[in-house]
Amino acid sequence: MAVFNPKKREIECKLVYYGPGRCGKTTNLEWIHRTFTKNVVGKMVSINTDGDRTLFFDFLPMGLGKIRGCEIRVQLYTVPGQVKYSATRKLVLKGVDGVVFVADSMAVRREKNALSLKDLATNLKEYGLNIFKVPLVMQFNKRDLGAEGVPLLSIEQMQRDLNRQLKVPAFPASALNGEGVRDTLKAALESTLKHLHQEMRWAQPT
Amino acid sequence: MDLASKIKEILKQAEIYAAQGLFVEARDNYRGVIDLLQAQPRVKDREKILKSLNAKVEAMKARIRKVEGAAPPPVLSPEVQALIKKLFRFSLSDDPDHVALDGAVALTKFGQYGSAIGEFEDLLGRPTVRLAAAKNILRCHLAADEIPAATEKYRGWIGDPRFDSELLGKLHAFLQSLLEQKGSAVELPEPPRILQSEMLPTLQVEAPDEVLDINGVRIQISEGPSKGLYVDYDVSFQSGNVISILVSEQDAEVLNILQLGEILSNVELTAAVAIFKGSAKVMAKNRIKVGPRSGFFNVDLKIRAFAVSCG
Repeated sequence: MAVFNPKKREIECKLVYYGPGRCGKTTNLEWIHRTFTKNVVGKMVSINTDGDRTLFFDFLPMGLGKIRGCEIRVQLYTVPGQVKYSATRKLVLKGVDGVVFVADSMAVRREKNALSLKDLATNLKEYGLNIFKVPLVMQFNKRDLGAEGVPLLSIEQMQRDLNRQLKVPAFPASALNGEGVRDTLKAALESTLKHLHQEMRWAQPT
Repeated sequence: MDLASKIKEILKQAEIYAAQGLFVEARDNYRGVIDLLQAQPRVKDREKILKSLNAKVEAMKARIRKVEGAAPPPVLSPEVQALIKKLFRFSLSDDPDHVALDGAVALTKFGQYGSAIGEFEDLLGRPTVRLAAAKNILRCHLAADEIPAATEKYRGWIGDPRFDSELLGKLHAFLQSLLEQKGSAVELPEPPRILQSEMLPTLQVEAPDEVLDINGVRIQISEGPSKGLYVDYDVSFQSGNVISILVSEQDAEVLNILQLGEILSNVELTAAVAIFKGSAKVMAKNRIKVGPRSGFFNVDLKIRAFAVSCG
């Protein structure tokens, strides 16, 4: 749940990167951390296992500066993708204001994408949130692997599989080299801040 | 595409899957190549290649086991623990004792039981959160599979001036119930007898944050062929004023009324010392998919009001 301080005109919101294991959520945050150095206002915290999988969460605090008279701070999180960390995923999702769903473009991960999206909907519901109403943006990651001979799902197929009903903005990406990461983040922030304005009226009229 | 090219392509994909940490997919690709080769007896150096591929399958299996294994959570640095307390403390209370309690509870959610126990121990000196802190200490020990430590702790509290007989009664019921859930046959020593004069004030106070341990709940079926009938359920878990019950999928009429957000206005709650009438809100309903309770629904009920019925 975003915190809005009308006196100081500050708003702090929470954006969560969700998706199946090894889809590239942490890679997104690492690229953002490396690239938006001026906006990163604290250390990026990653809690990994030996095998470099996210164990609990990644955390990256950012400051966007003043937007329409209000200082905007954003906390970016990732959830652990592995199925067995269901309770941690749910905990990290608590108080979420916007979600980036990172799907893996590899054909072999098609079912995992669908299961993870379903898991997201279930966990949001448990917090009284509707996946159709929460600010949500999709990213179809690992597009670069097609050039290495890995069978990929087409964008159209991924749209049909994951976004047919949701109809949210979706971006092809290759988080490893940053392609699509900025666009995804920008769309997620826009969508989240717009939604929060409807709820909290934080923005001053221009 | 000829066989050699096809195999080359599948192996290349397997290498990429393995590099991506997708060991199941990599293993399946290696197995696919093994199947292809086994159908082709005339391939040069076939046995040698098969041996090498089988070794790769075994390596992938070992990595899958490692990933899927239940390693205990690592002990995090003090900085990360401090961050967890800040980020995952969701209570809006300004009371410093409750803030500290919430922070310690957040640590338990990330498996930091040792540090959390230390913080809960400190909070035992604060009367407003003493019961919650004590329960959490016991929970932490049991979560870490330290049953003897939990029972020793409880025994140590008997005779500790900070713990009156009422508090000990609650902790006794709480720990005994957790032990039973764990399948432990340990019988805890009874706390000193609760005096009527100690009991009454608690029963008269309506305080949802300081509820007694609830052992059972009776729900009235409000619709369907069994309308008006009561059904009883044991409480499987309790955290503050939220209780959990297990409802079989056979109990369709009950499951039908236990819809998320539904408020049950007529429930009876059984505690060790009294039966309460009250209402409860359905906070969560999840189907258990694996284990001995597969097919049951775990239902969380937030108790919203109390009125003493008897006791």
